[in-house]
Order: sequence, then structure tokens, then C-alpha cells
Amino acid sequence: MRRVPTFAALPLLTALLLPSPADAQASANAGHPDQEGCWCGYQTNAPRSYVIRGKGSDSGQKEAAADMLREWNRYVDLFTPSVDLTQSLGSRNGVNEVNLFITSAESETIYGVSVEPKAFGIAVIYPDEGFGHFNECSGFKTTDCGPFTETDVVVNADYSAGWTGDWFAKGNDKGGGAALVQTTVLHEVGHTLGLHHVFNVAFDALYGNSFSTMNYLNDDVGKFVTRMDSKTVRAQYPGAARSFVDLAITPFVYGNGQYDQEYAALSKSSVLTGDRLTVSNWLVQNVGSRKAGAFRVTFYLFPAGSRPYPEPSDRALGSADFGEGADVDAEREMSGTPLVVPAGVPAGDYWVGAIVTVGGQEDSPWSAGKPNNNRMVIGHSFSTLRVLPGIGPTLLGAEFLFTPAQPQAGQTVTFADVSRGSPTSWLWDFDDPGSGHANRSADPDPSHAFVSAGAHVVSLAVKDGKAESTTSRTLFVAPTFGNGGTTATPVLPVVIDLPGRFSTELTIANSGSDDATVRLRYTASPRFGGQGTGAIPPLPVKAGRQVVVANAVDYLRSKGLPIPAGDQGGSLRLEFEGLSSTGAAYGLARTTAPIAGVGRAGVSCAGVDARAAYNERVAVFGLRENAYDRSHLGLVNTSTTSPVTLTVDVVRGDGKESARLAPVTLQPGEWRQLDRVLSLAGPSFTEGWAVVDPGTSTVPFLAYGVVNDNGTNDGSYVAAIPDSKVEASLVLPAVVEIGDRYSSELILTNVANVKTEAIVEFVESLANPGGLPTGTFSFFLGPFEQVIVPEIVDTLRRQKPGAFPLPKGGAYTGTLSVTFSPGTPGSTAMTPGLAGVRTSSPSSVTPGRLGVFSPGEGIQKSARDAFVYGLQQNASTRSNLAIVNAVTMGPPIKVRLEIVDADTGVVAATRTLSPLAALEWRQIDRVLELYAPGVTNAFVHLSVVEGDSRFFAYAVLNDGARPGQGTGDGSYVPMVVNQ
Amino acid sequence: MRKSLGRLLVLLVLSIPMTARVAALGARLSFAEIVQDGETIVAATITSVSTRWGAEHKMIWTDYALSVQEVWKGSPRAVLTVSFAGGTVAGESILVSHVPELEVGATYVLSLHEPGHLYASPVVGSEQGLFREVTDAESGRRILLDAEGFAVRLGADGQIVRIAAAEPALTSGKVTLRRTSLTGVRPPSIAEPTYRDGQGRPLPAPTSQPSRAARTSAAAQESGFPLTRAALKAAVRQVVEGRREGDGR
Repeated sequence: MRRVPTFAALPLLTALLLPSPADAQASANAGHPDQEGCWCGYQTNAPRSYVIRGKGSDSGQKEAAADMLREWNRYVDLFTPSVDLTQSLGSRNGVNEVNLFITSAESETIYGVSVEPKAFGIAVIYPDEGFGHFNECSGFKTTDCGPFTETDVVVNADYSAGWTGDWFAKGNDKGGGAALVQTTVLHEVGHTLGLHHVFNVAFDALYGNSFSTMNYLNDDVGKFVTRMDSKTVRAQYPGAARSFVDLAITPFVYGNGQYDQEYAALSKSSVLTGDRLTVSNWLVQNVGSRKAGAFRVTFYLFPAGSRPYPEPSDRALGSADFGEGADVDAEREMSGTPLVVPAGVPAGDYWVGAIVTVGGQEDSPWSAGKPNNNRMVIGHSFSTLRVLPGIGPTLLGAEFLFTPAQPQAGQTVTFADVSRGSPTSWLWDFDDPGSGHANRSADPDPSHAFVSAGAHVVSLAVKDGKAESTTSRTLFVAPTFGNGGTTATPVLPVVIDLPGRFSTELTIANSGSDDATVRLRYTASPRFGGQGTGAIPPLPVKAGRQVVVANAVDYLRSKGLPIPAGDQGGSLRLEFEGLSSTGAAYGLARTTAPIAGVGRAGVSCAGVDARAAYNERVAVFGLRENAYDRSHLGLVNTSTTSPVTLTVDVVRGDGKESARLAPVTLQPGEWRQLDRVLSLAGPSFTEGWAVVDPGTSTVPFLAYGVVNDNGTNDGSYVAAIPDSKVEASLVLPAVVEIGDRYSSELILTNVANVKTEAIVEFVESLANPGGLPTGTFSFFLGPFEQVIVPEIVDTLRRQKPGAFPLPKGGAYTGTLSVTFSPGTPGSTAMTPGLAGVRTSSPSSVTPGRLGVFSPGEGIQKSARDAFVYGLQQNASTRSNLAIVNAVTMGPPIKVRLEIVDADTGVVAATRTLSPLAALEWRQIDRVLELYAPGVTNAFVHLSVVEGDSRFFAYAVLNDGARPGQGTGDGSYVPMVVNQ
Repeated sequence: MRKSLGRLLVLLVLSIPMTARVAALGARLSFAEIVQDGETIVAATITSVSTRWGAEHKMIWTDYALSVQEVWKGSPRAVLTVSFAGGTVAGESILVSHVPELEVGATYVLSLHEPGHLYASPVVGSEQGLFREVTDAESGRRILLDAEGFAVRLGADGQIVRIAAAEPALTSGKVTLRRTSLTGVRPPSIAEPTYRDGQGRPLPAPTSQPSRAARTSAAAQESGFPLTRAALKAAVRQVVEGRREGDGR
């Protein structure tokens, strides 16, 4: 045991070991490295020893605290911790003490202050004279900082959840539990060195991980010495900094939200030998002071419950080789790290851990139970990976990956064999005969540059001496940009002609600077006999032009396609060539139905480029089947070469039951509609949502829903949302309450197997230009539950009787923001969900309602530059244009409109709108008549000209030249982001 | 150089546009706990500050006199004095970590422990029960910041959720909500590694994904409007009247 210097001896030690005045001055004025850590004050009490004592602690707990200080001493030569088992306590005795487990009463006796029952501890600091404000850290300014002559740490014996000194224990995290004594000590000692909290260093999405020992309330993460802490304390005490390489891995990442760690997790909980899985949310940092050379992180499998750490002798699952090393302070957040369960692993339950090594060695010696940053175990409470029995380790299954996902002709594509089992030979066929001998390869992981554009079915056959397995995937290779123009292929799911009932209007646009051509390729649906499939000769579409065809199917007939008379329909590909850019191509199908001779009700569907079609699971929500509405599910195979089989699961609105429909196999180009899809699931499915899953197929497809009014036959188009595009925060641009005439319903769908809270905020902009927030409202959804809230504005009003700022009877339109928050106590992760709005009005002619659906969009889909196509102003149709500032906070933006006369390709009008505040909605009624009188066919280019924010925009094509004419029904036409 | 009490007072009044950048080292409290653990919850303006030695010369205390505007919980009163550990008397200082400093002239909502304790901070959760009322310079709205200067809202899980940092505007009492970093400096990145299975065979690199920081940052930007005094008052009333359970659901 190290003997503690007596108070009398201290001045001499101080005189001998005090840092030089230059050192101290450098410390006080050094500023803050990249403004990450913040400090004020510095320790001069040489040799900065810390005596760890305390009345309620045992020797193990004291040693645990000392271990943490010794760990920090690797970074700065500041600590000579000693453990005093005499349980004596002191104050203002010239000794830096760490007093473990003092009761509030003892703290009052010694320090004159007590500790809250729910606080871990405090630091009591005695600064030298001349010290200013300990907390003067705002703006990272170190004014009035000075030295501390003595510091004491007090750890609260009365902390209600208790204490542990076990290095492997999970501390007082979100789930509660005992607090880690060594973590509290480390944090408080940080304060005695002058360090302050560093929560939320940045809200910048591009910034790094703000993980720091000095920024926690939940102390489980605080035991790790971080890049930020080692950097800050070295800068604070430059004369004491040590030089060495130290790579750290931690089993979580730390967001910039408050106390917002996310633990490392495995992608699977049960596997077979040969299976692949991934690990996400782990962090690697260089916390040393020297650049690290090449290093490796190896993941291991070891029996669950055997020990809380991996050993190098465990069975390896895979490794990440960081061949370029890591600069000082460098870090990388890791996700999707691929692992493979090796052959021969016995069935059983395992934990997964990792070890980081440099040159095959850990950079600090491993001692079980002592602080260490070279090893980690995956999962907050250690995720169990079950290796299932019954499958032989030699089972062979061909599988491969490639990158980039959307290559151009001539671009090298890298293929990787990820087959199950242990293949010994490989044979690749790239379906690119123009490449000659290069069309085949026997390498395990070959590369290939495609000579020809278009779809290529790449196949891989593997053998292992006993068995053979083959698989294939379709690649879509784009033509080379900048060489003979570019192509695009918007696919319209369906165009129909049901004489006397429904017909589809077609809009084709080219907003680019080059004249282009478009070939219309029609695939007749078997539903209507399947006759007439084919393509018509390419049509010219000049730059800046837009063509509107009243009846698409009739037009195709007129161009020679043998489409029979009578009810007909199918999908339509618009094959553009010669574009100045891919994004210049556009197609829109508007399907309408006549209503009692006064006009037409309609629904619009914008084309989706074939290369952007789905090849993953998608959800279609807001479906209902009742006396007023019916719902259909539309499916299209957008491939021209391969069939696709889709699985459709229908989830009942209460989330408690689902039904799997018969698999749907679609031939290339085929459109099919599952009429009354909820009825197919069962009579209890009066409301719900559907999941369309291609399984392992990579053949692209489209899916959508149509909700039809049983009275008017008017429809609302609901696009599918792919899994990867589901977001937690959405903006719904148009929510309406116009007296008793128009009202909006809100559809909320929880696609996760956890309960969630949808926090809804409505900003009214029609009656309150600039936007009037009306407060926050909550809707709670169970797992997989869908809630349809009719008359949402009035519902919000009823939630706040007397306090809602919009009295009933007025005319209101505005924006809803919806944030899906977790419904699980203690969880801070967002829960992705779906939201949409259907605005409708009673039909004055036919029983029923006319309506339009608009989806909630995440910020990722907002724009600073976009096009809205398809605008018309004529005897039968008027167009309104609406714009919403996409962010919930922040300064206003100004948006400029360039209205292009699509008959001439000339910009007919330019207007810059007055500023739009956060979430403010604005609609320009009959925008062509107002800003470009005389123009009847147009598209508009929108761009932000002032402000950092983004916007959503859309058009509504209304039936009737003026309000009051026609049916007044609208079709929602979303913007196209100009990349 | 010794610092006089007079200078300390001047500094407190003039130089601290924000509350202190401190946070409690302790269990994170739910909003319900912040309300339930407070004997008194008030909205009040700081009218004066003074410092003194405590009993037996062990601790320096900073006493703040409060002019109470509203009492949301506890007995009605017009004035209140609250004492925080730490301060400077006659050039001698003691600092206590996790104790907030208040600004004379500023208005706060405070959830306070019952008197009689010598807690370092009388605020529930050390500083978790402290909210400062400021004016958002852009919208002109009065909003509440937490003790570290972040605009907040009430989260679904019953926790206070930060949604934007605030920076002092030039005009006293006004702040500008900030959604970008203090600097453009980023820590250097580590290059994408190459991946191998346990037998050393190459594995494909995963598709890149946005970082956790990026994801939470984006979420924070879209997380709603800052808490106002009226909204907080309503939420406090819900808890006091038993309508909001401990987990906020």
C-alpha cells in the first residue's frame, strides 16, 4: 500500500513536482481540441495522487476505482492512485481523495453538503485564489480558469440501486441496475481535472460519434476511455501526455442525441453452419497519440455463459482487416460487418465477441476483470446466437453479391462469392456475350466490365466435389453517360380503357436540354386477354416538352398495336433515349371515371424508373373494405426478361392477425390487380395493410394500393414503401378542414413489432400565413396496428377542448408532422412507421365521396431543386401547385418557380415566392392562369434561392376549369427531386 | 489576484447568457419523477444572489432570491430563496460539480426538493428539474431550455428529449436554435476494412449506411417544437393529478 503524503509534507512535494509555469499556462490557454471537450481549471496538486478510501466500500470496489485511474494513467502521467483501507475521510487536507460510499450524513459532516438519493456522486473542488467560474464553459471559452489545489470525489453510499465494481457488469443503464463505482470515479475525477460534460458536441449529421466518459447519466458506457476523453485530457495536460498506439473497440455507437447509445447487435439469433450473419453498431477508435498501422478486429464464437469475453483460441467467425491503419483520433462506426458460421461448430448457444490486434498482438495486456479496450462482447446483455443442429456442415448453396448495384456499361463490377458451404470450384456466366472470353470466369471473386447495357442474368455455379449448386441474379446495366445521350425507363403500372367507365390519360415529359425519343412498350394484362403486347416506333420528345394523350390505350391502338376493342389494360414502359440526363424523363398515368355527366373523378400515378423499382419487401397501407370503400392491390413485374413470384401478407388493422395470400407469379412486364385484397384475407379484415415480399428474388417489381369510393368509383393511389425507405419522422403536406365541405383523415401504420407513439403536430397555414402551431398530440399504436383517424383536425380539436386555436367552422389547411417514438419505456430509438392523409369531400352528384391521398414523406425525400410535371389549365382541368417547407424548425426559405410552357419548351414565367416558414404550407390555385396566363400545358421547376431548408411540392390536377365546375375531384401529383 | 464578491456578482449578471454547461451524474429521471420528486414546482425570476459560508465553515453556499410568478406544485408563495453549494466568499472558493448556476434577471421553471436538506443542488435531479425560459430569436416564441441550453420536448417514453442546441443571440434573453455543429471539424475517419471469414476467405463489404450520429441527428432535426412554459405546465398538471404514469404513457 502506498503511503499517503501528510499535509505537512505536501508543500515540499508540490514544490518539487509541480508542472512548470509554462506547462500550466499552456494548459489554461490551449483552447479546446476541435471544440469537443470543454474544461475550465487544472490540477496543480503534484503529484496529482488520488487516495481512494471510503467507509462503505470494500477493497474490491476500491481496487476497481484504482484500476480505472491506472487505465487513464496510460494516456497521461497524472495518476498515482493508492488505496487506503483505513476508511478515514478528510476535507481540505491537501490530499486528492476519492471517498467511496459516503452517506449523505457523513458528507454533511465532512463537506457540509449532502448528496441526492438518485445522484451517483459529486466532486468538491478547492480552487486557488483567482479562479473564476467553474462552469464558464459555454462557447468553449476558458476565461477565468485557474488551478485547483485540492479535489475530493464523493461517491454516494445512499444511491438507491446499489453499486458494483465488477468490470463485466452492466451498469446503471436505461434498464436501471447497480451503478459502476469505477465509472463514477472516472467521471468525477475528470471534473477534478477540469473537464466538463460534452453532451451533443454537434448536431451536424456529418460529425463523429460524441461518445465520452464525460457525457453520461447512464454509466454503463462510461467505463470506456474514449478518443474524445484521451484527446481532451492530453491537450489539457500536454506535459503529462504519453505517446503510444492504442486501438479501442466498443460494443455500441453513441449518437448525438441525449444519452443515446445503441448497442452492437447480430443480424440473426439462430443459424446453421455455413450461414452468414452481420454485426452492427460497433465502434473502432484510435484513442492513442500515435498513428496506428494495419490492425485487425477478429470476431469469435464462444459458449454462452462460459465467460464474458472472447479468447484468441475461440472459433473465429470472421475479421475486418484495417490495412491502412488509423490516424490519431480517427474513428469508424461499423455496421453490417459480415461473419460466417464455420463448418464443424457443434449445435448450441454461443456468445459473439471480438478482439482487436496489431501485428497479431493486443496493444495492452489482457487481464480478465481489469479495464481493457481491446475486447468486447456483442449485445447489451450478450446476444445469444443459437447454432441449430441437423444441417451438415458441407451443405452447398450458391450465392453471390456484386457492386455497384447499378453499373454503367464499361464500368467494372466486382462479384463476391458468398456461397454456403465450402465450394472448391466456381463458374460464372455474365450474360454479356459481347465481351467474348471475358463472359465467363472461374475465379471465386471475379470482376467484369459489361460491354452492353440492359438486363443481364448473371449466374454462378459452385461445386465442392460432392454436390453442385447454381444461382442467378439480374443486373441492370445502364448505358455510358455522356456518350450518345442517356436513357430512362419510367414504368407506368397500368393504363386501362374500359369504355364508358375508366380510361387512362398519359403524360410524357422531357425536361432536359436535349431532344429525345421515347418508345412505348405495352404489356397486355392476362386479366383482359393478354392481347396487343408490343412496342410502337420511337416518338420524338423535344427538349422542354410535355405531351398529353387523352386515352393511352386508344393511342397505342392508333399506332398499330393489335389491342382488341373493349375492356383492355396493361403496363406501359416509356423507353427514353437521347436524354440530356436520366432525370429529365417523366411519365404520368391519370385514370379517370365519368360521374353523371358533370365531370370525371381521377387518380394519378407517376412512373417509376425500371432501375429504381423495388427488389425488397414493401408495404402498402391505408387499405379498407367497408360499405364506403374498397381496396385493391396492384403488382407489376418491371423486368423484361424474368418472372417474379411475390408473397403477399395482409395484416389486419388491429395488428393482431395476418393472412398470407396465394403466391403471385408475374411474367415479365405483367400487371395484376388483387381486387378487394382485404376480402381475400378474410371477412374480419375490414381495414389493414399489406406486405409484398419478393423473397430472395432480385427481379424488380412495383406495388401500390388503390382505395376506391364505392359511390363515386373515385380512387386514391397509395404507393408502396420499401423496407429501406420507412422513416420515423414524416411530413404530411396537406391536411384540410374547410367547414363541412373538405376534411382529411390521417392514416398511421405501425410496421414494427413493438408498440409506438405517433406524435402529431399540426401547423395551420391557410388562415394563419407563416404557420400557426397547434400543439402536440399523441396516438398510440400497438404492434403492427393501423389507425385511421377521420376528420383529423376536428379530432385534434376535441383532444384540446377550449384550447385548440382553430375554432370549428373555419377554413384551415396546413402541414402535419408525425414522429414515431418508441412505446417501450426506457427506449430512445425511433420507430419507423407509415403515415398518409386522404382528403375528401362529399360528391354533390353521386352518393359517395371524392378524394385524394398524399403520403407522408421523410426529410430524405425533400428537395432543394425539383420538378412538378403534368400541369394543365383547360376547359376540363385546373392545376394547383403546393409547396411546404420541409423542416420543423429553422429559418424560412424562398423558393423560385420557373414555369415551362411545355408546348414550346420556353420558360413562360418565373416567380420567387415570399418566404415559407418551417412547416408552412402554401398553395397557388390555378398556378398557370395566375402566373402564366394562356399556357395550358406546363411543368414547373422549383428551387430554393434563399435559406438552408428544403421543401416538398406537389400538384393537384382538379376536375373543372374553375372551382365549382366539374366534380372538383383532384389527383395528387408528387414532385420529382432533381438530383 | 483575489476575486471580490462584487466582481462575482457582476460576472453572474453580465457574463452568463446561458445556464451552466453541467449535468447531473446520476440516474436519469423521467419527467414524471422530476415532477413527483419535487416538493415545489415554480416559475420564478431570479432577483438577487449572495454567497455565505455554511455551518462550521465547511461549505460556501450561493443563495438566490426568487420572485415567484406561478406555483405549479406546493404551497403558494411570492418569494423564495434557494441555496446551491459552491461559490466564492472573500476570495475563497469551493466548486461543486453538477451544481447549476442561475442568472439574475432570468426566469426559470424549477422542481425543488423540500427544504431542510443540504443537497448540493436543491433542484430535483441536480439540474434535471431546471428549465430556463428564453425567447427564440427567430420565431419570437418563449421556449424552455434545459440546464445545458438545449431546446427540449417531452418524449413518448416519458423522458425529456433534446431537439436542438441553443446559442445566445446578441440580444440578452434571446437564443438562436442551432442544428449544425459548432465547427466543421470532424474526427478523421478510418478507411473501410477488408472482410474475411474465419478461414480467411474474402467476404463482400457491407452496403454503407448512415452513421448513428447522422441518423439521430436527422431525427433530432425533425423532432418537433420546443417545449414552452404552457406545455410544461400542462404536463406537470397531468402528473400531479395522476393522469400521466411513471413511464409517461
